[in-house]
Amino acid sequence: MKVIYQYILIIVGLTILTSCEDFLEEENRQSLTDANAFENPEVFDQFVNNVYSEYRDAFLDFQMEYLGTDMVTREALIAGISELNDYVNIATDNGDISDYWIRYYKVIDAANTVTSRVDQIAGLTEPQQTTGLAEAKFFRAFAYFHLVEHFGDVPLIIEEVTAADFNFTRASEEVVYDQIITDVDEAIANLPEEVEVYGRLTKDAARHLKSKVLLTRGYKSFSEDTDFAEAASLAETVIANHPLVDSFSDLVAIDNQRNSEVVFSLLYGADALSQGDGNARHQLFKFPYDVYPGLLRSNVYGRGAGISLTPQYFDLFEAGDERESATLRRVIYALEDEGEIMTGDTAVFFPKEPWSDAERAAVPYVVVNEDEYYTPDAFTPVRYPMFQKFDDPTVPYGDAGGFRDAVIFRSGEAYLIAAEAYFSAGDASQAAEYINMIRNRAGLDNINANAVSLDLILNESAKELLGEVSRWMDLKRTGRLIERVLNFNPHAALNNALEAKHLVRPIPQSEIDLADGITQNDGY
Amino acid sequence: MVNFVRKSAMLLVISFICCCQFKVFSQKLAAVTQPYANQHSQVNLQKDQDQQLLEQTLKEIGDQFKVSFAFDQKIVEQKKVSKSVLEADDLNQLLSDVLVPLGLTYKKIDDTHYIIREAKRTRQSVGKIKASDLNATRPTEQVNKLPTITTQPTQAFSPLEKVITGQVTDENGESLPGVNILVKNTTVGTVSDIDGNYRLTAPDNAETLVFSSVGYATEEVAINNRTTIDLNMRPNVESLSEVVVVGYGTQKKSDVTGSVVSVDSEILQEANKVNAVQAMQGQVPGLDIQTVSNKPGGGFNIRVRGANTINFSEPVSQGGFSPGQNPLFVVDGIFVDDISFINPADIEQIDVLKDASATAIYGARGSSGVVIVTTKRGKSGKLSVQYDNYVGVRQPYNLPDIFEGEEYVEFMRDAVVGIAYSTGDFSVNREDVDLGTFLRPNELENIANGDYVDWIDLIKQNGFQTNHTLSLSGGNDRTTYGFGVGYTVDEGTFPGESLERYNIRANVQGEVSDKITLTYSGYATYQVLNEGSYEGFRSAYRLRPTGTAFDENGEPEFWPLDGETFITNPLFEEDNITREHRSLSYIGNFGITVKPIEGLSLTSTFSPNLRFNRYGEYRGLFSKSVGQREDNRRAVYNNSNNLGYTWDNIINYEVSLGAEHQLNATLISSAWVQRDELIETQVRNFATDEFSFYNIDAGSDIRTLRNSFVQESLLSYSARLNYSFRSKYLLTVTGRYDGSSKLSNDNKWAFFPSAALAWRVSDEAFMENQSFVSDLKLRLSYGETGNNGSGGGLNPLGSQALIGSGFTNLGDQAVQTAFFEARIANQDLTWERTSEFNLGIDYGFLENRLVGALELYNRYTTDLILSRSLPSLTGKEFIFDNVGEISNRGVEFNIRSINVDKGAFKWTTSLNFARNVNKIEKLYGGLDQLPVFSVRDAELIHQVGEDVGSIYTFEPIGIWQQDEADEAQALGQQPGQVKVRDVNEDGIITADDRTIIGSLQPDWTGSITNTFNIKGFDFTVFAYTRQGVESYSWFHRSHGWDQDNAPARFNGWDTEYWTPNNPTNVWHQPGNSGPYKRSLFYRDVSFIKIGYMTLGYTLPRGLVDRLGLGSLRVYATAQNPFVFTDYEGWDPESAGRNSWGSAFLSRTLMAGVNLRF
Repeated sequence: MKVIYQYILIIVGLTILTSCEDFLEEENRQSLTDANAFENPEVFDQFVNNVYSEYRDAFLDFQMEYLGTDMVTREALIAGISELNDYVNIATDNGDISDYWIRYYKVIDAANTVTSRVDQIAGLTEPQQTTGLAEAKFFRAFAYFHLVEHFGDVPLIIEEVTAADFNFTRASEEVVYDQIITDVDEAIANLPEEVEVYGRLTKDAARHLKSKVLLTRGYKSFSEDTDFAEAASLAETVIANHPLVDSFSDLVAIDNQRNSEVVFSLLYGADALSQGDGNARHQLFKFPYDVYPGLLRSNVYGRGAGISLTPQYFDLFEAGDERESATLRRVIYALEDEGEIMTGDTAVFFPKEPWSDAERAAVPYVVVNEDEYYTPDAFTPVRYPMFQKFDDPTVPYGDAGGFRDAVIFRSGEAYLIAAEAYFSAGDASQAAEYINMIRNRAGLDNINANAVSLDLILNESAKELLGEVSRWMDLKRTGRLIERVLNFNPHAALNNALEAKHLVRPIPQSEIDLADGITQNDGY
Repeated sequence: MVNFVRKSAMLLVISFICCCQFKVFSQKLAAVTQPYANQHSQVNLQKDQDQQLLEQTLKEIGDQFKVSFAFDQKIVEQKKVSKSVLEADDLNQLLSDVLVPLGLTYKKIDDTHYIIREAKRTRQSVGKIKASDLNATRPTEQVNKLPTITTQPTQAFSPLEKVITGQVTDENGESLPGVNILVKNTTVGTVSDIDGNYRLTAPDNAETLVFSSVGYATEEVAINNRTTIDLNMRPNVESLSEVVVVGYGTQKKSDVTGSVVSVDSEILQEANKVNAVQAMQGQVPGLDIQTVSNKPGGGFNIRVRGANTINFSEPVSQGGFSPGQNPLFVVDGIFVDDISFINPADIEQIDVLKDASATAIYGARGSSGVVIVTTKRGKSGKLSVQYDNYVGVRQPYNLPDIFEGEEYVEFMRDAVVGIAYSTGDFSVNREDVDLGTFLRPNELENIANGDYVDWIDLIKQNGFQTNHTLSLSGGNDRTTYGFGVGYTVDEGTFPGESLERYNIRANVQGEVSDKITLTYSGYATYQVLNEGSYEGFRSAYRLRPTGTAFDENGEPEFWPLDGETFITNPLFEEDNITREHRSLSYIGNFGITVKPIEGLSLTSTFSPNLRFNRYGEYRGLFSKSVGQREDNRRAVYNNSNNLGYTWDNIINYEVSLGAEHQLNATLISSAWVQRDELIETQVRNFATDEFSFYNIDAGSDIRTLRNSFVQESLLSYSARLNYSFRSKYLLTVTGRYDGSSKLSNDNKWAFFPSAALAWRVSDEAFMENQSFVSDLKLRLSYGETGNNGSGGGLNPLGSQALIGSGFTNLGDQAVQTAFFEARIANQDLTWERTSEFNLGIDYGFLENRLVGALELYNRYTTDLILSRSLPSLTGKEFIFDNVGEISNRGVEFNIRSINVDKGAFKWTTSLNFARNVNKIEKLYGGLDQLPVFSVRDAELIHQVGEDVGSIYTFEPIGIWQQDEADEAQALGQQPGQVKVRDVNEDGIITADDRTIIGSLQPDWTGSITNTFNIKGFDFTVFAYTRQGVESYSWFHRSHGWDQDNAPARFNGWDTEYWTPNNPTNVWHQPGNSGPYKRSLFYRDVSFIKIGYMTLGYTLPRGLVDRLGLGSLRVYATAQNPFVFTDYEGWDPESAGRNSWGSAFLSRTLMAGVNLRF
């Protein structure tokens, strides 16, 4: 019988072996947790860096900022319907709209992580903490500014969400603006005056943002009397610190990206590690040119993102406007020999004044008159002078991950903010002065004060800044969205569906479904 | 006391068998006979040993006295004879001396035949064999192993007599020893010898012989004045004595108390599928298997008794949502994720554990059912060699209609009109359409020349399929071995898709001493799977027939439409796309069993599970996704290793308390660890295609470089008690205590109990005097199980708040970022828990010509784990949470009947039916429904009272007609567009008008198998069905005309559609679908499929002998030859799969041989 006990002992022994206490402990080598990360003050910097990173993702949402405006439309025949561009049947679960919402709330979450966790992280120095908080709050303000303009009342969340929570209500636009200004004021107070590490925020970036925020609030029912004046004053500070580059072509030159005019840029670079998704602006406003004889898919011109310019855009430029030639490519040169066209010859030409049939017959290349931009030919449904100011020929064709800095704020815009602020505050002559400084830089003559109007400022802004700042928000701010879009956007005009309710986007259906207290915007 | 010792010795043997999970015992009787003449009467024994095995002794006695003995292998196993007793000269005396001390006795059948059996007899009458009596594991029943043989041989010597001889063979044509042959209604009989030969002296008036053998159907054969009667015996339709693997042990089917269904190797062989899962399709009521990909190596959704987990789960890549999760797979005692690495020809048996009492032994992993796969083991006996093969072709069929040639051009005209209609412009006529505006120059030229391309015809191919399996088995009473090698090829129906699989298996079992047995088994698979192009198939369906496939030199045109650089010619895909998985899998099982005393066995098994997988993907210059852009050439190289082990320690004690009480207790401790590492790389921009993915450092653009490590573990303590009273009243009680690494410290452990009762009604005395019911057992069980699978949302590190990291660019430096991951940690998360009642009836009527089972169950799952989406405004995405309760109630039914059995002709039918009603009973916070979610574009909802993941969308009610224009326009729609029901009748269509229109879960499933045997021919037809099931259809989504605003940009489905002149309600106007088009994409995907039709021919004995073979069967099979369905796409089973990465439905026509030496 002793033998039996031995056997039982062996089995019991084995069983005990397998029940070692740490057998069910999880081993985590993939990520830190809140249990072990906060001993290291660098984690705070990394949380702050992440806010930059999240904003860099959100910024890429071009559809919502440009489509369905007076200057940008979809790249298609003038037929059919679309939600964002034509304002037809905008579904509450529209993917672009919910992506936009999600991305900006991710920026807010990243900022809230900084503000909520700052006290838990050991060993932070005072300047590290102050600057980090200021940076986070700048982005929180910026994100709410985008959200409140696109969606109206939005839930205001300023603490990190760490537990399942489904109770949220929308805060009024006024409350959201108050929070934006609180945050941006703290950013102005605590950010450094001079850039220490290129790409980080400065006081001027925050001033620029605040000037835009106040300019926007100035039009609203809950505006404060000082909004326009303060906006102008902040813009003037930015202008003073950031002199204009001498010529517009120098401004947009790929080898002069970090010029005096830049207030704040997002950086990408070619290093895959830090490039993120890359700057996709080089894809803005380009049609599929490669189908024409002599052309092919090439990184010389890059690939388009599928949104294009309205015919109106080409009529904006006066003769001699340096911005036109720096912005648009009216000649596309051949990249390969095909038929009579040799590499380096003109392959496609968009004359400013229409060519006669005889003139066109005399040349081997394709000539497209302005009235043909949206009439299909045998090659493409849509063709027009493409953008070249964002060109990034080092980027592989079709790749959205461009390397150029993405300029978010530059003093060129500050001039127009100042002009609009003065104009809206009733001072047309000051407005004309700022507009003229911009025009002069482009090689144009002055206008006089009684020519200034919101439309003129918007036109100036389109020529100066299209693709750099949210056109949709500019139009909405100035109250010119509906009229200008129905006038100038051919697809939207065709459907004629744009109305007042479209001044806010629908709240994403999933948010309404998931959160208990969130209501939909009227009309959706 | 001596008796007790003997009995205990038997128990020891039995418990060993039970514990090792090996189905080692042959149900056949073995016979030893070797008569030869003029032998010396002295028993010649080895002098150098005190003892020798009984079997050897009997053989020697048989040799000496020119007699043969029949016995059940079981009763002689392990028994030893002292040579000192081998002294008598008289055969009877000698046998008594040898057998009586061993508790055995013998009976003389005739001059040369004796039967050995156990000494004790029961009260049961001679002549009626009951399955329950044919008990391999209970010594008290062993006596009835051979009850039909007369003890009165005197009649055999009646003056009026005739001699009948013949040979009995088994289903494989191999000789069948030990068959009882009896003259009907007499006690005259004999037993076949080791070569299956028999010689019977029968009364002259004898008319019929009755052949019976354990595990085989008893057959009556008319004598008809013949003197030679050969018989090919067939296994019992459902052998009630078969052994069922119940998890950490085996049980006789007659003793099983839970709901367990076995699929044996014959069914797998008959089905002949590349994948064992496919072979199980339709074979087990309540096991619903859905093929979700028709590419080689494609996967399955496997559900036992419906969905009892709610979490979003898309277990098969791209296959769409399927409620529930796959069952736990256990292969030779090892937990694995799927069984596609196994060659079906290597499988001995698959047991499907359905109810919670059966799966409770797997506790926290048991709630979705358990599928236990047992690979073939070595069997004692002389070396047996088996070779099986097939060769065939896979052939695409059931192709949907798409526009061909000119039809497409007409369609395009209608689409241009449709686009105008969509803007409210009804003035455009199809005659006005200038094709030149929309078509490319080469298309216009092709149309002018009548030159159209049938892209489908260009890309579809017949794929080659073959399998070769060689198996060896043999051994003696102490050691058995089995080896096998297999090779399988399965080519797809799109060029470039292929699966190659190599299998090697080995198992050895040896007794190193009386008390210690060592076992080893190993199964290794090397597999090369090339998924081929994902694009080519879809491109062929999208490309306009007006394009150009080949240039003037006959070379394929890369861009078939001049100037359109979106879709490339699919003919380039084969050479330019590689998606290759190479995997090496190994599962092993090292075991030691110790039997210190009678009835007690201690077993420890260590089972490593190793899997190495390399995925290489290369997209060459002329693939669609690279599109001739050098910098876009792409190589992906991923390596993963998944290493794990299961370590089980099992104590089993079996004891009889008196004659009526049988007790079997099992204690198990089990530790399971799974450790997964993965590295993923993707590099682009290569200067050449030469390297494929083998030289990723030649590319300059690193896109992905990441790795991961995950480990999870499970610790379990289980106990099971089987108690049987008079073999009629059976009780099973189990309990399992499980701890999982994936839950927080407070919630790690949980206990899962079960209990089951069974009553063998047919064994009651009151059932003895009737012949209608031959078997009847009632079962009632209750059990609780858990869900530790990822389908249940339990993921590693889920209870911790994880901080991820990345990089951004500040100051032209890569600076590190940190962020809390999108999943919020939940410390309170606890086990999903399922409880289930099961009522089962096993029945057999008319001498078991009609056998089957009926099951009723009520399964209830609480604490459902769901990845609850959080509002995006939180910046987080989801949290795993216990959110609700689900029930599954159902009925399962199967019947196998012998319809005709007239000697040479036999017809059997097997019918399966299952219906499961799935219902969400409760959601957290008293909610009636959870937010709509979308998987692969399908809109789904969890709503109380409805199926998990019901389809929730607008209900299409036709097409807006021209006379309804005003009404349509009031809703923002136009004539020609899809019209949907205003469910709440508020006059407008909003999200509130969505409603549940169907379920992805079938109302019922069923199958029918008919087998006909005529002489050596066998013919089987198997059909299965899933009925009452809806699915989002990607065929309609992608090929029911994508993109309204570019007229007929792609070719598409050729169906009846609305035009101003054809006011149909079938499909919308092209170019003018309106906002609710997707409501048309939900289709009824019910179907009936013929799974296979097989015609086989087993060569007659004589011919096989002349060829020097053991047996030879040749056969031809048509797999999946037909489908009957209303679904218009390729395959109703995989409707939810995007055509990007999809494949044709295909049938395989194959032929092969089953050869034994």
